[in-house]
Amino acid sequence: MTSQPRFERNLPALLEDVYLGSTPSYRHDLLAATGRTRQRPAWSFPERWLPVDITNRLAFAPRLPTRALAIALLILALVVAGAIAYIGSHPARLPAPFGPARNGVLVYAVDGDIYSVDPVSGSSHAITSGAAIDRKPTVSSDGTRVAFLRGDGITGDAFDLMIANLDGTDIRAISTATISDGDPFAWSPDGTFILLNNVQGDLVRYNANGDAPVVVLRQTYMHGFQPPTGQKVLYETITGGRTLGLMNADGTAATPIYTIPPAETKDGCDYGTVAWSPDGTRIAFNRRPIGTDQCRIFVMNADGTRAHQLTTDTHQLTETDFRWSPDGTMIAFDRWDNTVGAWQIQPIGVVQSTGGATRSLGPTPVSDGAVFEWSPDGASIVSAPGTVIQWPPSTAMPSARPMIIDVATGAAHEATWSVNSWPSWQRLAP
Amino acid sequence: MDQRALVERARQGDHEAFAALVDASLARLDAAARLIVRDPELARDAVQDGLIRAWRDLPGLRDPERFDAWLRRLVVNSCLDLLRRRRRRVREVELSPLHIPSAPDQSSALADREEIDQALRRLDPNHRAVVALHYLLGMPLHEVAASLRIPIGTAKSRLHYAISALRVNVDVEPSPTPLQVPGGTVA
Repeated sequence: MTSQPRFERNLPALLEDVYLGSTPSYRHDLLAATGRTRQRPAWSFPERWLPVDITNRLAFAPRLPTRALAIALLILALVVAGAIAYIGSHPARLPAPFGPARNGVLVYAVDGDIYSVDPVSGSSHAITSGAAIDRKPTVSSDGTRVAFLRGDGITGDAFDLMIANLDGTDIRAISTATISDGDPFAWSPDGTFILLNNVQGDLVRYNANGDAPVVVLRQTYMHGFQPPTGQKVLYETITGGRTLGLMNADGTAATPIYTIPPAETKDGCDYGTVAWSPDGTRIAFNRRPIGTDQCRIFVMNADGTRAHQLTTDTHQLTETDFRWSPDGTMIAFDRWDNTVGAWQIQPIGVVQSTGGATRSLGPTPVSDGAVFEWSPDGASIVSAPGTVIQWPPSTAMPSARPMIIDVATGAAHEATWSVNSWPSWQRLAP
Repeated sequence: MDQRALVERARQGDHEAFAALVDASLARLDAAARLIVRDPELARDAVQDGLIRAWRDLPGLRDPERFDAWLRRLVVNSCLDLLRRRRRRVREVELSPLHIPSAPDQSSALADREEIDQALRRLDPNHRAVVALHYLLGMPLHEVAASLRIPIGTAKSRLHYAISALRVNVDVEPSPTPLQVPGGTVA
């Protein structure tokens, strides 16, 4: 045990002692300045009076002759009916929600719009466009749709949770109240709903069919659906100790499976990343090895037993943001080495999921680490600098060209396209 | 009058209601800004910028219950925006002589204050922002992540670096090799 938990406990009082004083002397000047500033009228915030998917598409439509419109609609109906009949007799093959799949397009945000790019040819297509700020695209497990956040770029904290087909059709909001673009969310394995953690710490279910959202559980972080069925969700309690548990996706039958004892906790490390193995039998998570000041990856069984440190490197390391390979044989992660007291960022590390030494992949990222994703076939990793996901969410956000890293050889090449989001890779049926 | 009513009135253009809301939080916002930007004048600019934005955009706030969180993130992001725009080392914050603690051993307490101040100075602004939001403004980590528009894992890892650096530099647990700046340089 170290003195660190005591230090963290005392830190708020220490900071208040150093920085907190009485009301600043500039209070009067400040209120005078706000008094001279005109408020924006409520009507000038588009999302307050129109559905957000409409506000970004305001345009004058030319008037069509009624007869021509009727004929066009009739033709369209025939085409749709034919398409439905064809699709009904040739159902599209979809990938299983977990495990290896064939590589599809990469979906990313840049300059406030969502794009897809073929990583082989480099050809890209806009999924969304317009004045709205679209961020954080996340492709569903079946590879057919993308969820993302949409804001107006003016009220920085006001975002809607949107879904769309990957071809850019059927764009619609499924949230009914403001959410933050820091709120983590994940598609259900069957693509019928999205679980989102809001800033109040509530876990909310947003239904893709537009049904009203439901609060599944309060004061809970979500850490993913358990493969292969996704019927169970791994959660972390916000209050009452550092505990992981399993519950049904509707919030019932919550059962703790693992707790970090109070003397072994570490703010900023515990459960920094938590991830299921693709077969649902193991869980990887962050915690502090007892008696150290490090933050390492641990792996345990799905029932919380046999927790053990994954990597054997003896340096003073922080290992975070890890991702299982699609076949579950490897884990890739960001890491910093503090052995010489300098927090040196290292290249992305990859280790066998059974443990052992770490192998470096690709170039050294920026000091904030990399945001990266495995390709669905597990052969490569797409990596972007962590700086691309920083504030502010606007068209002026920093962007960067991702690196595509070959996992087998470690060779990396720069993409021809730029992102300012986490890249999300579409999964296709093998 | 409760805060929700004040927010509703301020949204309708009642500047006195807005002043009441400001009075309830100004001292703590100023403290957070000084912790992050390390310059009293710059902190004042950041707070002023954040509060002017808040007044201007208040009619667009959809959920009055989130006023506090919204205000905090406006001010903190004003701090980070100002630092990015200036791209220079800023004048270091001076410890206010008005806040000398009433601890029995004043010399020891002052030494602690200087140590924590020096240790915070060595941190990157993004790490200081996480410390300010979590430990000074009392925001839970998921809200910190939301305010800074970063994943919860990044918020946790930034806090981890910051705490490790502070703990060693403040000498709560002596170490033979003092930690250096985690994450790089001052903006």
